[in-house]
Order: sequence, then C-alpha cells, then structure tokens
Amino acid sequence: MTQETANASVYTPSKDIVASCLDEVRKDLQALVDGGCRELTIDLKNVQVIDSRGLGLFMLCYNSLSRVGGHLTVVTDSEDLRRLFEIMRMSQYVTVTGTQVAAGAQA
Amino acid sequence: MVDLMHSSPTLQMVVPATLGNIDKADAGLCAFLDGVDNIDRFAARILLREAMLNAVVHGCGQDPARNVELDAELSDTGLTLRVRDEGRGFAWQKLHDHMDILAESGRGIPLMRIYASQVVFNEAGNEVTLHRAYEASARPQGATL
Repeated sequence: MTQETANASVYTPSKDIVASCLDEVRKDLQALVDGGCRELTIDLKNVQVIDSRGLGLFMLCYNSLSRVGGHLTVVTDSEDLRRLFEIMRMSQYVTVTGTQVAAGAQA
Repeated sequence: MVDLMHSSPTLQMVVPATLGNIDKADAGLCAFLDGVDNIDRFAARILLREAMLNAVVHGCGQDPARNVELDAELSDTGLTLRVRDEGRGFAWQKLHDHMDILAESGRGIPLMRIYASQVVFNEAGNEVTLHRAYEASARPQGATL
C-alpha cells in the first residue's frame, strides 16, 4: 500500500520483508523512486521480521535516494526491528522512528 | 514438501531448497516455540532464516532437487538450531569481521554472530549449529536448574 503527496510517499509492506517476497517489494520501491519520490517512508506496522536480504533492500533503497538527494525513513514500534537497524548500524543512514513521532512530524 | 515431526522438545524438518520453504521452516519453528516464553522469538527466527538462507541460496543454489535439513532442540541451556545442506560447503575459516553497511549483501553471517550465543560450522562448511541461550530473567520450561 502506498500513500503519495508531492515528492513524499509512505509505503506499507503487507508482510515480512524476507527473501521469498523481495522481488515484489523491490519493484514497488523502485517505482516510487523512479516516479520522483524523494522523501520515502516505509511503515513496518505489518512487519515482524526482516532478514539479511531485506536489510540489503533497505540499503539499496537508501543508496538510490541518496544519489538524487532523497531521504529514507523507517517507521516501526517494534523494539526488535529498531534494535536490528541499530546493531547493523543502518540507523546511521536511515532514520528509524516510532509511529507517534512520525505522526507528530506530519501534523 | 515439508516433513515435520513435532515431538517436543525437538523439531526436525527436511525441505527442498527453495526460498518459500524458509518461510515454512520459520512457521514450523514458531509453532515449536509456542508457549516457550524464555527464548527470544525474534532472535530465534533471525537465526533460522539466516542459516536456511545460506543453505538454500549458497549451499544448494535454490535447486529444489536438493534438500536442506533443520533440527531444533530445546535443552537445559537454550535453543539449538542445526541446518545442513547438500552443497559442498564454503571456507568459513576465511570469513572476516568487516561488514560494509551500505552494501546490499554480506549481513547473514554477522546476524548469526550477533543473535546466537554460539556459532559452529562443520569442517566442510555445509552445516551450521547455532545456540541461543535462554533469557537470563527466565527459567527454561521443563528443565532442571
């Protein structure tokens, strides 16, 4: 599911971001970036687990956005997922925030 | 086809080497751990997925004619996962600790090392045994301490 306004989009995957379903997510994200999205938010409310392939996709997305001056934000209230981004040091590049903070930023 | 013998406290599965069967193995592990509240479920799922992913992709080249074996066991000390594939293995002795954060790949082994208490490869490198200790705040159910 995707919500778009100007050059900003919120993409909400419907299930875990793991190797078996990466092609679909990769296609969706690529279409958003190619379509001009520069402020991309990925809402992980339906996601419990992300494997190494999924994490790689996030960095691929980050790299694509960086090249065009864009920014990637991940929204999750899962402590497990937040910690995953931290221990893999990906939160140095990707903004990881909770739903309340994200909602406050949009208000 | 999934061959699942669920006789707690061990789980054994043999699945063809496809990505979809990693999801089935994950579901099997979740069912196996149902009611076990002193194992970090997220860590266990990450460990299973990364070990299976290596076996399916690198060990078997996603060839469904090849099988991947999974054994899970709850012991006095925690959860042990053993994943074995029919491939030739790899030179795990040459693994290095460097991880490129911006790269698209190269996170599987680091994830195993982070989430497991112990990571042991067999000599050939086509079998990995991962141990995840029980959470310190809880006692293993059914185990004598």
